[in-house]
Amino acid sequence: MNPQYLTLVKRELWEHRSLWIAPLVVAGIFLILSVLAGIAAGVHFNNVTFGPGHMGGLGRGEQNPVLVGILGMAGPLFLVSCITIVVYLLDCLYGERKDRSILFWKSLPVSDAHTVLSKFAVGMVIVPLAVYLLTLVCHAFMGVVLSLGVPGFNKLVGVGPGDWIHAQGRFLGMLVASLLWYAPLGAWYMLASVVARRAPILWASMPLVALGVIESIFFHTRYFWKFIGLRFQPQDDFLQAIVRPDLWLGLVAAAGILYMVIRLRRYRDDT
Amino acid sequence: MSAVIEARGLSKRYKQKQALVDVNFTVGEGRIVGLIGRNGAGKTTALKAVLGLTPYDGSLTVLGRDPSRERERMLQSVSFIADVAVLPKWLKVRNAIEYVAGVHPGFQRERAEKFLASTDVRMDHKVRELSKGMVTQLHLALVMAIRAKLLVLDEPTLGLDLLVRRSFYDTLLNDYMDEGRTILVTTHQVEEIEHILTDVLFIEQGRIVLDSPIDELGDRYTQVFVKPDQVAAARALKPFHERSVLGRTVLFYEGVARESLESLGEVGTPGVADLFVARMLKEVA
Repeated sequence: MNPQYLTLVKRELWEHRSLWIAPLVVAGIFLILSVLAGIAAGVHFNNVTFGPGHMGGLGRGEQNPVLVGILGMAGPLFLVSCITIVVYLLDCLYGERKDRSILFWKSLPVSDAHTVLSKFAVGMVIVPLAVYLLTLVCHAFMGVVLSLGVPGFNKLVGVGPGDWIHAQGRFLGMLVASLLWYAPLGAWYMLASVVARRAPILWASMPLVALGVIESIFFHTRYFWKFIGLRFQPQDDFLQAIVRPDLWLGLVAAAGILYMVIRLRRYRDDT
Repeated sequence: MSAVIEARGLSKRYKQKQALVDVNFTVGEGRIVGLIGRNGAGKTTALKAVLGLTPYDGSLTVLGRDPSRERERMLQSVSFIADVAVLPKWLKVRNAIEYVAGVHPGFQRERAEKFLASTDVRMDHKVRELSKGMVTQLHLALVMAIRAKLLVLDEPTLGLDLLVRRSFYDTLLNDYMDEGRTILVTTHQVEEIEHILTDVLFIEQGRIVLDSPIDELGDRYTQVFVKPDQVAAARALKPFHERSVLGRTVLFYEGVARESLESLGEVGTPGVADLFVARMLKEVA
């Protein structure tokens, strides 16, 4: 790997601190809540010793309870991160032109391809994977706290090692499939960022809105809206997702858009 | 003397206007070249072409490389300071150093830190907390710690007060300039840098109108302070410009032998600023 990459990634995290502060704050809230829940549970079930006999009472549904727990954690964490990542991608090539610092960045021997790809990687790979790890840490912490507060908690809800492995695999698969699925969206936000003279969020949304409106006026159909709506949906099954042709077409589109972004950053001359 | 920059037939057209028209110039190693022109004359466009920041027509070689195709390789040996406003406000001094150290193979971190230690700039300052003068010092520290062969400066002291401007150029000359290093600089404040320049390039409406080493200006241009009773005689020798200063008239001549002027008054070599003004008025006329 090019040793520049580490520096380029660090530079993004220095500038866009919300990328790592926001998920940490959410995680912190989770940790506090799980401690409180552990204490409450400990008080409530003070004299109860759970054993195999209690299992039937609570039972488990169709869902893997570990997966349910992880997804419960992942929901708020990834929701917050999605917002910070979109804000980041929209700003990452716009802010440097706005404050003219692009002239400083461009005075150093870093290629535009490295710059653009490092920003894409931060938004679409590094931060999501970090939030993934954070989710697992939060979940494990909550499990430990609840087990301390309520001895035999794991037996109570009836989970075993198989459930853990299954849950980890499913969750990682969902994440990777969703990231692949969202790749063209991420690239699109960067295109808006490199093109916009102001308000990149409008540059990102107006063309899509316009196309949708034109379609519904002239053809009275809503295929484009559906197409866009579909692109925003997360993927919940890795194997189902990667056999979809439109996932691969999306990746091709993402590569094409990123190529345009690199060319635009290279040759655009408006400072 | 080998050429650090070689421009042949360099042209650049923006939508509305032709910014550079068939520009030819050569910058030799070890020279300090002032690219001097009015606003919109094409200075910044020329620098952007040299730095590979903008597409252009014609041929351009910087340290033997083509800036449009080998920009990253070229930038390992070229440093660039645009005006001081371009360091991002959120950047911490410590991180600025870490960043340049991380991306530039020729960066000598200790040099930058040593230079900054002699200033009021502290490692945990952010750029937004620094005064304009301190930002300049930071930028200078970063650039001087790079072993670059060519330093390009575009209005580097714009908006700075006199003390900072003076120390900027003093630092450059004392700590940066040595054998084998070359500087290309644009500025409005010609008077401030003319004593450090070895060459001048005047640019007007996208064309180079004067390209000369400073020490050859005297061979070509002469100024004469003429007493009032001699003005008519002096004018007969076809000066290309004249102006009045405190009751004395200064006339500027191009290509007129000094001996024939000495009888008219005090003969000297015009300063770059005077020459620039004179040339520009001539271009306009």
